[in-house]
Amino acid sequence: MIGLALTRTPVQVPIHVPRVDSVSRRLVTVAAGIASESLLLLLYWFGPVAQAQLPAAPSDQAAADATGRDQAADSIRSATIDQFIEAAHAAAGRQPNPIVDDATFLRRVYLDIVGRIPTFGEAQQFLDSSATDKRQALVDHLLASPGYPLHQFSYWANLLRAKSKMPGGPSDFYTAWIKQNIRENTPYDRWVREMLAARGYIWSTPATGYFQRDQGMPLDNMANTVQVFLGTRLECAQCHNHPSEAWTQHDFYRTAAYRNHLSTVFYHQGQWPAMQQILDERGASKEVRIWASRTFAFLKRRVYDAGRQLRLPDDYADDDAMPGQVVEPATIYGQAACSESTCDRQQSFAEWLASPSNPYFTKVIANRMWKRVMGRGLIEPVDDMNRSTTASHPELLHFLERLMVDSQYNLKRFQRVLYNTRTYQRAVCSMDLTGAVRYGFPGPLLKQMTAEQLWDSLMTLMAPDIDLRQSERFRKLPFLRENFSAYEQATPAELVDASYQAEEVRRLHNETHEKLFELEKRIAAADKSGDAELLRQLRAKVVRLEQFRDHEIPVRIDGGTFRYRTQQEFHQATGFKPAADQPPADSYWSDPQRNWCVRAAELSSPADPHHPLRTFGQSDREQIDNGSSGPTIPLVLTLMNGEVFQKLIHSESVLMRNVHAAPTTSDLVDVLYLTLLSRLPSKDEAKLMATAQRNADEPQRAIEDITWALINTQEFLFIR
Amino acid sequence: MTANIAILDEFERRRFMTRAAGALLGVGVGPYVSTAAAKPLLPTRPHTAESIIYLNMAGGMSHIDTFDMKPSRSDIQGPIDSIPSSLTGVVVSEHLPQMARLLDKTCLVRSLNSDQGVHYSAYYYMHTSYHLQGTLRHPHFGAWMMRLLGKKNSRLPGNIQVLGGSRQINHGFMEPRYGPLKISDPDAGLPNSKPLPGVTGEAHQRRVALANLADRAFRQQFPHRQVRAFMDTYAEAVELMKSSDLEAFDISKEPAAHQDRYGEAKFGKGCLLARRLVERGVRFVEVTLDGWDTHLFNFETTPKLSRILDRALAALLQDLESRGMLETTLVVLATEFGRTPKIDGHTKGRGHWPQAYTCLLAGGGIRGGQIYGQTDEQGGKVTDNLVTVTDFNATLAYALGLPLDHELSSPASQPFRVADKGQPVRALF
Repeated sequence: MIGLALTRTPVQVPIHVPRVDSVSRRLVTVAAGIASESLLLLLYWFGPVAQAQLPAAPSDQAAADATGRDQAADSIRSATIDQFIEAAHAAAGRQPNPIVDDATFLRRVYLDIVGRIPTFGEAQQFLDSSATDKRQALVDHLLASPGYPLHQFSYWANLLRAKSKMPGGPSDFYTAWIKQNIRENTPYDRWVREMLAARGYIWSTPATGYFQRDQGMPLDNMANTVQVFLGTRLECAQCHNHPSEAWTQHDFYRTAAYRNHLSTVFYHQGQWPAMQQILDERGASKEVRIWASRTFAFLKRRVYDAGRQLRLPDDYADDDAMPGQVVEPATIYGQAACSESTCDRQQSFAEWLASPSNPYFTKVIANRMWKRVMGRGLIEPVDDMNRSTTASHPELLHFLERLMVDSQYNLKRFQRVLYNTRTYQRAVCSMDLTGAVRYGFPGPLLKQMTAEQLWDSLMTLMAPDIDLRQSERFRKLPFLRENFSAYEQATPAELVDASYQAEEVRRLHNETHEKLFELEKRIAAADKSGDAELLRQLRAKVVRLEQFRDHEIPVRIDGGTFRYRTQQEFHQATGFKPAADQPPADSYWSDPQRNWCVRAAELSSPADPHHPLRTFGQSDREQIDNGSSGPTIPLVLTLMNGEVFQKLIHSESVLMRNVHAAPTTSDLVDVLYLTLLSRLPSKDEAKLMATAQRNADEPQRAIEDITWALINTQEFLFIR
Repeated sequence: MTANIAILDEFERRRFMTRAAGALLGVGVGPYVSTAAAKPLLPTRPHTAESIIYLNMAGGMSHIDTFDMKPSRSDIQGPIDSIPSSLTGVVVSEHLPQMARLLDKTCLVRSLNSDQGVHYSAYYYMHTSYHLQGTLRHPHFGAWMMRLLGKKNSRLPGNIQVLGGSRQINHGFMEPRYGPLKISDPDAGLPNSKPLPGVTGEAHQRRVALANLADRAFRQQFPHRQVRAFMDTYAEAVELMKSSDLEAFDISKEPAAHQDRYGEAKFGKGCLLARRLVERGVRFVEVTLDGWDTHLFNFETTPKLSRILDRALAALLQDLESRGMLETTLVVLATEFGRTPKIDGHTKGRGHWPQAYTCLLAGGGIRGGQIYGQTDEQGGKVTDNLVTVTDFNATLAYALGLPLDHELSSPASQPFRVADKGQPVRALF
């Protein structure tokens, strides 16, 4: 039950100090006194950290992450970052903000790393603990937890505009692959290279989803690539020279020439002519022909080298080339790639872009990750860099870039260094930032929860083990992969057979549906006339028909018409089954009717248009990073009056279960505050809620009133 | 609940399951905002339009396949036929028959010219009159209207977007309350606008008060703009819940035959919703019809969309006219760019073409029955009366009586205007 050892008065928290050995501590202190950023850099390179051997690219990332030597090295790095920031403050005669208390740290770090508020149990555990390194331990725990990939997925889906429904076919393969990379902590440079170098079908090479996303628009794909990975906006250069920058239209085309030869639609006829012949021979109906065309459509969608040449547009105006002239690929900076005609342009480009020797590649990811943690980049905006862009802390950014390269683009490791700084643990900035001011990071910035963080936090209040709940769309993937791979091997005759089967399934479903509809009408009539015997017979017929529909009609697996199982078998095969070593499934929450209760990363990307996630401002994944934050009337109405709240106060929600387990009425106020705001109420707040409880008609109503009130505060919505 | 299910027989259990599985899914608040009708900030010149219905054809509507046909060039035109309109000598696509008959009520501007050929930048330029910049967000035209004119009906939001995406073109550097309210489904209206079942208006007010009290410490500690913006929005939402004008959002209140005239598609219903909202004094309603980006299958998709557009726009114009609302309502049909005259043989599509495209205006004091501007034989180049994007927006502002030279500053003290330096096309009035 709840730990009543928690006190209301703010506890003096041991401030987290990174473990630093005495030698480096002295060196670092000396450097701080001199307040020179360059000296700090020298110390980093010639001091103890440099002498500690960095691990070679490990095959087991997890094991490497856990070594004690890594921890010491990372601690020094965190301290170094702090010295950069604090030296700048000292030089300006300013104080950075104080370190936040445990409750503030708890909620902030959960939302930042795993994208949801902590559960009541998690909050209790952390706040009760007296371990001196508990903050560092929590950071490690969260980075390794299943919530981490679910949170990071939304971030990358926003940047990559990854959608569950893309023209390239079943794109869940792509979104699942992104999540898998995050989960396994694949080095960032490796999976970027994979995306850029991928060819083939999306079910066997999910990385092709990256190019499939921009089907028919290879120039846009290139502009997006440069924006996301190289932090430069080139899309204007599709049409004309950039008014004030060095990139010309020709530069853009030269870059685009590395990938323009790729296509996403395989126009070759393949099995289609043979299929058409068989359809004709069998006198296939229009419906069967439509199925055949749909089935074959999947085989047309793959990324391959179509050998297309890129030509300058007809209205090309500059003197250095003719309109319509063929463009040869050339890199806009750095080393040349692909100078021989026999080279693989796609591969060369991938290697040129996702490389430590590409000056922008590392800068961009380091800056993005810094912004992710601290709330603002050292360069803003993060994707509009040009040759005159300067960072607010140039030496610090340089340090971060070296850190990224030295960590071999291990994003978890990079983030751990940042999360363990004092800078991260300081109170948020209490003023608004205006325009393009140089922000000195006295602390992170106050942020509103993203749409996904808000939804995920609400879901945390509903079902236990929210991070472990997987939706059906991803459970189906192995079956879909089997299905589509079978397509690749199928003969035209087999594909036509599949089309006939698909039509048969559709016909059976329609027929059954119509019969059921008729029976419903007759039941209503029998009910009215009071004929009990007829009613019983009719109901029995309905049950038999529904069983036929569920158990005997083959099911059409989404998008695939080739292989069938019945509805029943399919649900059993793809149903949620907890692993042997996991706690037994909660019977209420493991019921398929509760399938809606999953985190945003498990739903379609983006969520359906009417899903609360969209109302909360989730990106529609049509533009890079275009989620909207900020208050809107629909968001506020949803929080106040939406169905989500009704589900929240349902007796089976985790929130309500915890509340009802509280021994006294004042304890339950503590539970509500701890669960919703991750802290205990102040004396005034406790008094306020006690009054609210007295004024309510009955205890359950009081609980609902207080829950409603806390959900609808700005404190709930913002991350401090 | 589980105990009860066991009692039900098999038949009823299944009924229960299917039904259950089908589901998911004011008093004064603080002194922070007044929702009374904001007085117009500046004197306005004589004008007739008070509201705008902005029909946004997202993706780049092909001008050559809709309103700027080129029947003399079969290589450019492709398979879509032309039909005569109510304007002598003027033809439109065969898939726009109702608009062909109503063309004399409208003004076709065939000489739009933009320098932005990429979706987001072009869309941004059309909607804000400024080019996309990394460091600043400009306000949407609708936000400008709200800021300069204020609400006409204080009990309803003044800036509404129906069916648009979550693109970040909204209030820009202005306060969030000038930004649009998004309706994602015209059939669903404004969801969640009533308190939860079992919660009376009074009980709701008590909860709101409790929330404000609980939040006091946080708001004192964090007086950030973002936090205040939320407080404002909560206050506005609470007021809206009590407004009798809420039923403007409910298109099912229209007679069925009337709903039918707008067609089945969501876009048509969005147009009907727009009419209802403008009727109740909403200033700016934007309704989006997406899908015009026909790099592929142009000759399947464009006709389909044209027919949806034709039905909805014709119904809207006739509806406004019969209610005497056409003079006070400016109807705009706009898109972010046109499409290439040359048809791609491989994909049977057209690419982006910002150099020349067509928009349409009606009502709001616009003199109907004219074609303004023209393109060359291929539809690729504007040959006469070129209209830039800022000129176009200046024309809309002019129709509404908005001051074109009034400057508002961003937080970084840069001055901006509703249509930048655009000049209105006075010939259209």
